[in-house]
Amino acid sequence: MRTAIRRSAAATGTLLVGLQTALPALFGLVMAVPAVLVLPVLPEAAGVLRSLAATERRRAGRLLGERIPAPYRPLGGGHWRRVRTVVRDPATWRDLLWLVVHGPTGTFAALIAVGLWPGTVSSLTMPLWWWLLPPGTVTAFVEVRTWPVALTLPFVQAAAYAVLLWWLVPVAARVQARFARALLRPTARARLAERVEELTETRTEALESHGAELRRIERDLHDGVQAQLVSIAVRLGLAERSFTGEPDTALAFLRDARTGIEDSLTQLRTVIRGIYPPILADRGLDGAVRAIAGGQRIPVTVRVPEGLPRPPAPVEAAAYFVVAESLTNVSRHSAAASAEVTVEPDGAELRVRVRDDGRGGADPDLGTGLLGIRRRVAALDGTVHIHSPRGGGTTIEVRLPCAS
Amino acid sequence: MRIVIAEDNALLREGIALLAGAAGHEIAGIAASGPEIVPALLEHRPDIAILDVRMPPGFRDEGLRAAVEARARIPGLPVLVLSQYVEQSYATELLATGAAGTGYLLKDRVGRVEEFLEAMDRVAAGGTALDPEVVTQLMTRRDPLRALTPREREVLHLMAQGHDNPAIARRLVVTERAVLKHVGNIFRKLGLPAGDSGHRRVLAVLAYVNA
Repeated sequence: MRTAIRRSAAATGTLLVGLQTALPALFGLVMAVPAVLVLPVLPEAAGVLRSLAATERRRAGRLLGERIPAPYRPLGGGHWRRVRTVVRDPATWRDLLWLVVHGPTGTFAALIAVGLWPGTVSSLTMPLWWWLLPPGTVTAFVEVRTWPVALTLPFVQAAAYAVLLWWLVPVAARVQARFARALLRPTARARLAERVEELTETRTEALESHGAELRRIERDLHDGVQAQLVSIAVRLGLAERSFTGEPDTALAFLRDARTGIEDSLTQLRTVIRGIYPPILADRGLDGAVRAIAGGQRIPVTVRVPEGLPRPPAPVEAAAYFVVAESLTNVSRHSAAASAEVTVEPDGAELRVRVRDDGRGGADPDLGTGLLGIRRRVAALDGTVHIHSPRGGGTTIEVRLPCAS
Repeated sequence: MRIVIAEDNALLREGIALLAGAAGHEIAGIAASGPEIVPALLEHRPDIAILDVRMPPGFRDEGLRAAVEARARIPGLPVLVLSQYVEQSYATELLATGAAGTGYLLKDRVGRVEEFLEAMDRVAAGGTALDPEVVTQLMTRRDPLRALTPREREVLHLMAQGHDNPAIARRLVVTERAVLKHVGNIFRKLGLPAGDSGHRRVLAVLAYVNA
C-alpha cells in the first residue's frame, strides 16, 4: 500500500514536472504555425524549440534511466546555409510533432494526475459533509440527494480514482517519456548518417596520414640512401682513378666509401623500423612490447593476456608505436618511478594502456609524441584518451578497432 | 678454424665464406634454414658457429633460438650471431646462456674485414663480441654511468663490446697504461670488483649495464 502510494506520487510528480515543457509547448502550439513560417527566415527560432526539447530529453531520460542523445545536424555557415540545415533536418520536424502532441496531452495529464489526489480525499469524506451544501452542488457521477446514495456512490468513486492513481498515472508518465524518447532521439537513419560521416572523416584522415607516411618514406630513401649510394659510387670512381698513381689517396676514398655504406645501412634500418618494426615480425606484439619495456630505465610491468590473437599488421604496428612513444614520454617528462603497459582485446577492439606514477599534467595538445600518437591512432579509426592530473601520474589509453 | 655458417641468403653466405677462406678458415658446414642448424652443429662440432637471426621457414628469430638450444646441447660452443638489426633483449637472452664465446653483431660489421675476423677469433677463443649499438642501447639505461667522464664511458663501451686493454688502447690511440688507469677508475666509480680480466671483466661490466 505504502509503496503503491509512493509510486503513484512519484509518477504524479513526473507528470507535474512535465508541465515545465508542456505549458511552453501549449503556448508554442499556438506559435507552431507562425514558427513554420518563421523558421525559413530565422533559423535561430529553432533554438527555442531545441532547448525545450533538451529539457524534455533530460526529464524523460531520468525516468527511463538512460541518456537520450540530441539528433541535430551541426549548424554552421552563412544565414541561408543555416536555414537550409534547420529546414532539411528531420529532427526539426520531429521536434514540432512532439510539441503539437505534448503541449495538450502533457498539460491534460498533469492536471488530471494532480486533481485525482484531492478528488479521492473529497470522495471519501463526502458522506460527512454533503448535506451541508445546498442541494444539487455535490456530485459523484450522479447528484447526491439521499443518504443511501451518499453512503455508497462516493466510495465507488474514490475506488475508481484510486485505481486510476495506482495504475493509470504511472503508465501515463512512462508513455509520455517513451513518446518523447521516440521522437526526440536520433532516428536509426540519423545515427547511421552520423556514423557514416564520422567514418568518412576518419577515412580521409587515414588516407592523408597514409599519404604523408608514403611521402616521408620516399623522402628518406630519396634524400638519404639514394643520395648516399651516389656519393659512394663517386668515391669508388675516384679510388679507381687514383689506384695506380696515388694508392694512398685511393685507399682513403675506399675507406670513405665503406663508411658511406655503413651510414646508408643505418639509415635503411631506421626507415624499415618506421614502416614495420622487425621485432614485431620476430616476436609478435607481446614480445615486442616486452622488449621496449625491458629497455627502459625504470621498471615497466607488461600485462598481455596469454594467447592474444594476432591483430592485423597496421594495428600491431600502431600499438607498438603507441607503447614506444608513450614510454619515451614517460622517461623524458614524467619523472616516474615505474610504469605499466597493458595490451588486451576488448570486444572487437584492441586496448592499449600505458600508465605511470609520475608528475602528470601532460598537455595532449602539446608535445609531438602525443600528436604523433593521435595521428597514428586516428588513421585506424581508433580513439586516444589521456588522463593526466597534476601530481597524479599519466594514463594514455588507446583503442584500436581490429575486426573488419 | 672450422666454421658452420647458418645463413639463408646465398649472397651473404658466400660473402662470409669468402672472408673466412681468405683468413685461412675452413667452412665445415652450412645450414640454410632454422631446423637444419642444430643438427649441423651436432654433426660438425665446429670451432665457431656463425648464425643469422632470421631464417626460414618462419623468418622470425629461428637463428637466435637455435643458438640458445645449441649452447645447451654443446656446452661452451662459441656462437657468433649476426643480424640485420640489433635488439638489446636478444643480447640479454643470448648472454643468459653465458658471455664466454658469445658474439652478437650487426651484419654491417662484416664489411670491416679485419675487425670482423678479430671478433670471430675472440669469440672462438671464449671471449665476447657485442655490437657497439647493443652496448649503446644497454648503456642508456643506467644513470650511475653519468658519474663517468666521456673518456671513461668510451673505455666502458669498448670493454662491454668485449675488447681487452691492448685492443682498447689501439682503438683510442692511447697507451695501455692510460687504459689501465681508466679501467681502474671505472671499476672504482661503479663499485665493481677490480682485478677481473678477460671475459670475467666483460661479464662484470655487462651485469652492471644490463641490471
